[in-house]
Amino acid sequence: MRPLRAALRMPVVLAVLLGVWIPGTALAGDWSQFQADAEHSGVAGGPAPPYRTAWETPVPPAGPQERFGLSAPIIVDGLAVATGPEAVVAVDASSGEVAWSHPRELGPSVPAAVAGSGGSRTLLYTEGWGEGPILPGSSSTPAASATPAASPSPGAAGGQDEAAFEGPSRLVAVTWPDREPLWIVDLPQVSRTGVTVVGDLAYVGTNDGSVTAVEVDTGSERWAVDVGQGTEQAIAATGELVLVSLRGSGTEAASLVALSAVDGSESWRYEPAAASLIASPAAVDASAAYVAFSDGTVHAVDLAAGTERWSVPLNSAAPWAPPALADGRVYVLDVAGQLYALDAVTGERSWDHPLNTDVFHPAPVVVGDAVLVGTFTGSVLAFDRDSGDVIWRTDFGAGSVRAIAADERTVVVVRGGAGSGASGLVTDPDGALIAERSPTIVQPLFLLGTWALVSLVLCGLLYQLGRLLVTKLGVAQFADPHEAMQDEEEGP
Amino acid sequence: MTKSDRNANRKRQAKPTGYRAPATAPGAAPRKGLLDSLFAPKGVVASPMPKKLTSLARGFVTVISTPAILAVVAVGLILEWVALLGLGFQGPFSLLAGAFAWPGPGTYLDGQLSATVFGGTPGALFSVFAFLLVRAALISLVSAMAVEQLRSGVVSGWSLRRSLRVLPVAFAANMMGLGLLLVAWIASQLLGQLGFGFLVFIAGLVAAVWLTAAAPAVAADEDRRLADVLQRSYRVARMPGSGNMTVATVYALPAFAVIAGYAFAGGIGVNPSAQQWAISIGVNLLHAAAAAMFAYRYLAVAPFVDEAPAPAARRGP
Repeated sequence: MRPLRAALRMPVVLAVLLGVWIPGTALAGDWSQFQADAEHSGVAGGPAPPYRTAWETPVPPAGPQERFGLSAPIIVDGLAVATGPEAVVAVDASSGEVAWSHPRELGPSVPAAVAGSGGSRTLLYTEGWGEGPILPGSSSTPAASATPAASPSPGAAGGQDEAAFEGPSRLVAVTWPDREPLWIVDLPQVSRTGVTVVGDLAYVGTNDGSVTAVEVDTGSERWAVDVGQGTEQAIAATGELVLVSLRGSGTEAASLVALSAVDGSESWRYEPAAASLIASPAAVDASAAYVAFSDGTVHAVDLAAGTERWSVPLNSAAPWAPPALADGRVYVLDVAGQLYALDAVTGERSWDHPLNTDVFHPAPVVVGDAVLVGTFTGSVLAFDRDSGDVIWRTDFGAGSVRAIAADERTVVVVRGGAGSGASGLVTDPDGALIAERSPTIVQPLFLLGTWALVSLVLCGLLYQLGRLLVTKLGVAQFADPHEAMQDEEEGP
Repeated sequence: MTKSDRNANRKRQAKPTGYRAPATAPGAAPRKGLLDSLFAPKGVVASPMPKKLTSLARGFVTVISTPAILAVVAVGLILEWVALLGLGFQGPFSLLAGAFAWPGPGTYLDGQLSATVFGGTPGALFSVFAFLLVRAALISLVSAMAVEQLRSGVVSGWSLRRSLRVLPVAFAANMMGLGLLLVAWIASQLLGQLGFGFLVFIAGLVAAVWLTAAAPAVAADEDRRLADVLQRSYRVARMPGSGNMTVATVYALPAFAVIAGYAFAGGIGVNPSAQQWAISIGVNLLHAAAAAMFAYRYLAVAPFVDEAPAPAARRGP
């Protein structure tokens, strides 16, 4: 397996050496968009466990009622960039110092993306929340942002004026890393998909089901289509297809739709036999898309035909985060914290490891020979990719882990809640690995021994008590006229 | 009385009694409405049914003083767990806290279990019947043993053989529980899951226990056909002044609370801890105690239960 992995990394290494940018892949060594690349592979050639916490940078929740934290981060040029409700924040991934904070209109905290290569790169993010979030204790909170608009570019390609921003949301482009305004594109509804970039196109979806492809260089709209159902999950894309996970409703089931990258026309639409309300973001390899549904199943869909290759049940649903893909395996994390390694071709389970703790947002991340997972209770764990054993863990204490990203030197962990902020993990040369086996591996001796011991002790004690009580109560007596009648019939 | 005399007496008592002839009441009572026993004017009714606390105590003592029942519960649990592991089930183990539960709460668990094990596949629909059959087998065995223990003071191979005759009755009782639960569930969906609809659902659970409580004991104690057993169980449930509805409620509510609140709260894992085993065995012994209690209550009133009214005679020429 290792030679194969090495072979797969070769094109990326070559791209770095030659300064060539490969469309549809991450910038070499960077984690330039959600889950590393447009395919959502979730793979980084980052540092190996064991880790130590190199830095922790608190970023308090912001926005209305100060309830909203940071998005999943991207890492470019050593800067970890996450989107907060009112600013895009960049942290030095080696020191944890805040490098800059770029204000934006209030909007959902969804991932930004960096497009392009070399000296001509573009930071893309969405902003705007329409009527604002619905919050406890208030019927509606328009919540006009206290910060200035993020896109001071009246003369830019988009042509919108900052003061004229009244639409529900918009896609904003600024130069990287200087954040000079480039262009703005208005969107028809609030966007929660984040931005996905393949080559010179950026894709963004909105709550009402529109998907828009925008040319990164000019801000011109290449195409926009209505896919019929709302989309709130990150869009996956290859050079040819754009894969949009659609939300279900009372009348329609969640589904995965593939659009042509050329003109946005629908190539196919996949809806599983059992209806679900939520479909996770898709992860894509050369031949299939992998998507989990809220009914607790994960599906492989043929990219060419849009037909199901396999479908396997999980113990819980995994509807929020995409699977990670590496070396012919699909790593899926369900909301009860069970990590599954599935064969990408057959769906057969190689191993699984339940943590029995809530996991809502973070997707699994593959770093070298480990899979990293964050939990709702603030823990980060590393699993061995071959055995499924937990080989390292740490507990940040307060706050849930919302997302993990990695570049070659640092694993960046974004947390929400009481511990809101970001943390950096680096390899700890003095640290030690552990080996915790999965509780789903049957240990016959332990299983039978525990049962036998408990049964003997418990039943033995109860039996002694029962004998005592029988002595006190006496045997049960029942009126039985039949026996009396039979005795009479038998006679002397 | 010498020790040898006591032993001889005990052996005489311990001798399997064989099947009883169907009990006959002095005279067939007129038919009554379904809910007459609940809504009829209350008077002072002298019921042969044992008091509720006496029944509870007798059921519990019967179970914990009978090594065979203790063994059946413990062995039944490990066998069911290993079988579930063989089907690919990974937990939660706490679901087995309802393995010996009576139809109603137990049926609810079977529905959930089949969805968990076979969820998303066509097998889920049919597997519920397999789970009902397993539950019926466990209830049959415990009920037959409880009847023999109560009648003779010992448990012998008779219980095992007799449980085969009880099995169809217990399965039918489970099917009745499934039907009642489906109706109650549909009604609860129409009426609102959290308000009156929830009460209707709970009423369905209680009704399943109330209707079927005596059936396995009747089948174990007497030679009767399936339909006759179920009718007799229904007549036992409706006996005036028996408190059967109260007993069914007192059993069904905590049993459902344990199943709904505890059984699904456990984590995934295939090697249960000692604590998990202790809880599971303990809770299932309480379910077995309920089965023994139902058997005790039936045996106490068996001679007083009305026979089915004879079919109307045809008019002669």
